[in-house]
Amino acid sequence: MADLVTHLCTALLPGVLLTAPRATWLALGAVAPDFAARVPGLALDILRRLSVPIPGNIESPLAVFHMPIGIVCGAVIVAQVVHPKQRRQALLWLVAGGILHLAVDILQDHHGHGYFLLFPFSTHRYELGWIGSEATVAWAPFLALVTAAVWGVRWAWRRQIARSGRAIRK
Amino acid sequence: MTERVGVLVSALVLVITASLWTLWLSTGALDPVQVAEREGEALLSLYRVSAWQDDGRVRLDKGNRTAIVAGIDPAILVGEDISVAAVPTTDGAWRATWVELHPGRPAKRWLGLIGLVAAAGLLMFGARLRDGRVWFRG
Repeated sequence: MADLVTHLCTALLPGVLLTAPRATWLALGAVAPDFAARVPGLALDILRRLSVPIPGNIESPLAVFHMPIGIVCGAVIVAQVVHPKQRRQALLWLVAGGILHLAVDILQDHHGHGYFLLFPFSTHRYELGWIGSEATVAWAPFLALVTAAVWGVRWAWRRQIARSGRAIRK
Repeated sequence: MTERVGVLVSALVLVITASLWTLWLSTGALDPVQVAEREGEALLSLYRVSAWQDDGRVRLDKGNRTAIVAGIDPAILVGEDISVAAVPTTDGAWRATWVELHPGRPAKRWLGLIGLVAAAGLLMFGARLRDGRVWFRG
């Protein structure tokens, strides 16, 4: 998996062309697979290192949230907390974010131990192996800066338009 | 009504997929010993060096999995994250055929934490409650 800052930026950069809610859903969708499938395991690993007696692999079923089938089904369930007027759009953009997450992840090289994209229909693992598994660490600060700059420009531009609108109405 | 059916079906598919995943894992399909039998060597991916033993082998840990591996460069320190391609030895341990260091791993963990905080901020800034549901502003 790429780091979460990179995942957020890869969603927020194209998201600058979308409405704010759509960009937010895309970004949240891009973070969700790691949040649901990996973070609990990392947290449990820390507790295990502190000698807390936690059975092994209890977190393994969560791996389905890092697969297309889990992303879609998880998004259908999570979208229920969204207001009905926004729900359908939220669902679509959450799923798009999840797919974007997988698209970034499969760029990485795990020596043939890639991602189970077609489980439960196939146990084949997919990866393109174009970048190292920590390659995004070097890019993340640059990506974060570019993302912040692009969103800053958008914010300033919208503010300018709002001011112009108010001046015309007066 | 259609939405409720969709949610029920999704929940059911998730439970079935998670069960199939657990069942498949329980066959040992991803177990390093079985992988080595199938493919000639196994990849012990992203293990942490826990200790150097007196016999020159290292103890690697990942979650609740442990591997004793020979043939690791003595320059590798305890606490480092490494991936090792290895073949099983007769005493239940492993002999490394190659090792990959992951010096960027700690930074990646920090970026993960920063990403989580940023995502939480995005949610808190972008969403509010409306009619008992989450409404996204904009």
